[in-house]
Amino acid sequence: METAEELAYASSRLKRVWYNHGDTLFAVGMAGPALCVVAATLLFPLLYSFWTSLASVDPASLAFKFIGLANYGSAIHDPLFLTALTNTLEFAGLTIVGTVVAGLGIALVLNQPFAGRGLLRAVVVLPWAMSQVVVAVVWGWIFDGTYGVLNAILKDLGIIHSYIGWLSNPHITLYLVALAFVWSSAPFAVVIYLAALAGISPELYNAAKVDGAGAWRRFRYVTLPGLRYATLMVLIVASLEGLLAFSLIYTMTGGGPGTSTTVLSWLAYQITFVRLQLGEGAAMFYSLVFMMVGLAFVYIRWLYRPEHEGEQ
Amino acid sequence: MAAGEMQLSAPSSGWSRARHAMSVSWLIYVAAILVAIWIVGPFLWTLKSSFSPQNDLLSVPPQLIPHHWTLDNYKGLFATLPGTSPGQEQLIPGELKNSLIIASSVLALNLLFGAPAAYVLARGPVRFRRGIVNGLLASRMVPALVLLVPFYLLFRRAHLIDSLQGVVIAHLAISLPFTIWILRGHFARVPLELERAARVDGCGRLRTFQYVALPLTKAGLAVAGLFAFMVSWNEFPLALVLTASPRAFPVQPALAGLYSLQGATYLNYGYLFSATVLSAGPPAVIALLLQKHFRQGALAGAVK
Repeated sequence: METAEELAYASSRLKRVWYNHGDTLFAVGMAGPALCVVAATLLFPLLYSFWTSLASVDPASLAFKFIGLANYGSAIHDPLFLTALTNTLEFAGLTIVGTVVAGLGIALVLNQPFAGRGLLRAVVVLPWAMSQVVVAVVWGWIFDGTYGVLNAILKDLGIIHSYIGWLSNPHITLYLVALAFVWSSAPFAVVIYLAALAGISPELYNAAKVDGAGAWRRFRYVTLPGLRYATLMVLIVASLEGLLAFSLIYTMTGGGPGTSTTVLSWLAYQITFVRLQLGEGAAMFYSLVFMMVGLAFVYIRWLYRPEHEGEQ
Repeated sequence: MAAGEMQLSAPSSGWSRARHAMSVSWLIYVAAILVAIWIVGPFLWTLKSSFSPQNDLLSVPPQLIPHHWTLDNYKGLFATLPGTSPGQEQLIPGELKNSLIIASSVLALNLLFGAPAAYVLARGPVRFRRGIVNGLLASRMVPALVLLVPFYLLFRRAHLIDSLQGVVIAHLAISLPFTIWILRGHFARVPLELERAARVDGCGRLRTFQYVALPLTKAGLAVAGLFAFMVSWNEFPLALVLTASPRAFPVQPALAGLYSLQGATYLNYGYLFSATVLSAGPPAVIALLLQKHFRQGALAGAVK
């Protein structure tokens, strides 16, 4: 025998269930289409790519023949693989350090009061908004061996005596491409560092000053610790971008001269779309993703800890 | 690196403090000028080159201040001389148009799919959210490069290669998770009281979304939409692989193609730079409009 209270409880439960049911329908209806798009355009191609990496694909008929992990083996044994791996790590290392140093340096300058600071802070994001193709044309023209402005300036300053073919010298090309890359990636770090600098309490500086800390010690013991989280973020994003750099190298050097700027992404592109070894190319691109998954793990583990939720 | 602390390091005595302050502000201005040259110099040099006649561009040493300015590089892009066949540079206007169509479609589809989903992820049933939000976070880590092979194969099978629609679909893949991420934050900031009031007044869930949440998120929609436009406009590898002719070429692969002619005697450098300026224009305007949101954008859309 049910009491009135029990009945009321049951009906309220019923209402609640009905209510939630409607909510779920609404939620599915609203989010469903977008999630289907993400599943169809992101998850499915990812799985399809993995399947491709296990097959030998006929470039004309696109017929698949399952060959297991053989593509991964031949990707690693590609005669250019070691060169590309070395170049990738060197390029990523240069651009990561460059982005942190340039980003922090520019942020420290823009953190000082001076006339025109607002304007400079506004335009500082511009290189970041440029496509890598535009960055390549802009810097390629500056580095041009005959008509380039870099040669002209260095010669006027007496630093060089004759024009240098900057992008035709295999020993320096990688550095110059990295320089152009840092130009376009540093603004991102500047924005992050400026926000972090604004978040350091002035009282900490005053307290350090009262304690007799000089400029360097205040920088070392107040500023730098306050920038730890920002630096971590910059490091990780810069690593992802540096390891995956493709468009700038494609446009600016085409992997050359020789193999001096042949990085893994460029090699994978060559294997896939020039040699038309689609399966092997997929394997190499997929290996890049495995590297990303490793980094993503660090990314989520370090950056999305609950205590940082507020910084989003 | 001590630049950040310079104004804090004033020594005690009055006279030397004044001298110190002067030298410090002098140092700051030197540093600021160096930063300005580093950031703006390459832009100005390209801009100047786009207004220079060909023989100025090919003079040795290059002229820092041009003898005369000309609009010919821009006019020439949009006009084919009578009796000549169009060069690669004359295809640029059509390719800019392709990019405009693609990026605008990507913007519209991002908002169409992204806004309702973001609303649910900000307001919907809790058990719905967690996994999806984490999934979106993870999917932002997927680099566009790994999508090259599958999209190329799938689109060849589906006859979407060398079509504007194909590029739109590919660009949707790399922009939609990011759009949902940005919009989710904006919907979460709509005061809950307003939505409750609407519900109490008899609005259904859909109408609450449509008439309360959506109008209050206009700024967020603009930010997310413009970011999606910029991502699509600037994207290179997918656009390169999925198109094969000027019919569908977006501007980035077209510009890369024009640049690869460098060294060939028939390349008109003036056209190269006017084309560069035109393809850099839209993202530059968007960047200046959205500077306040760049921190969020930089964090969320890190991998270009």
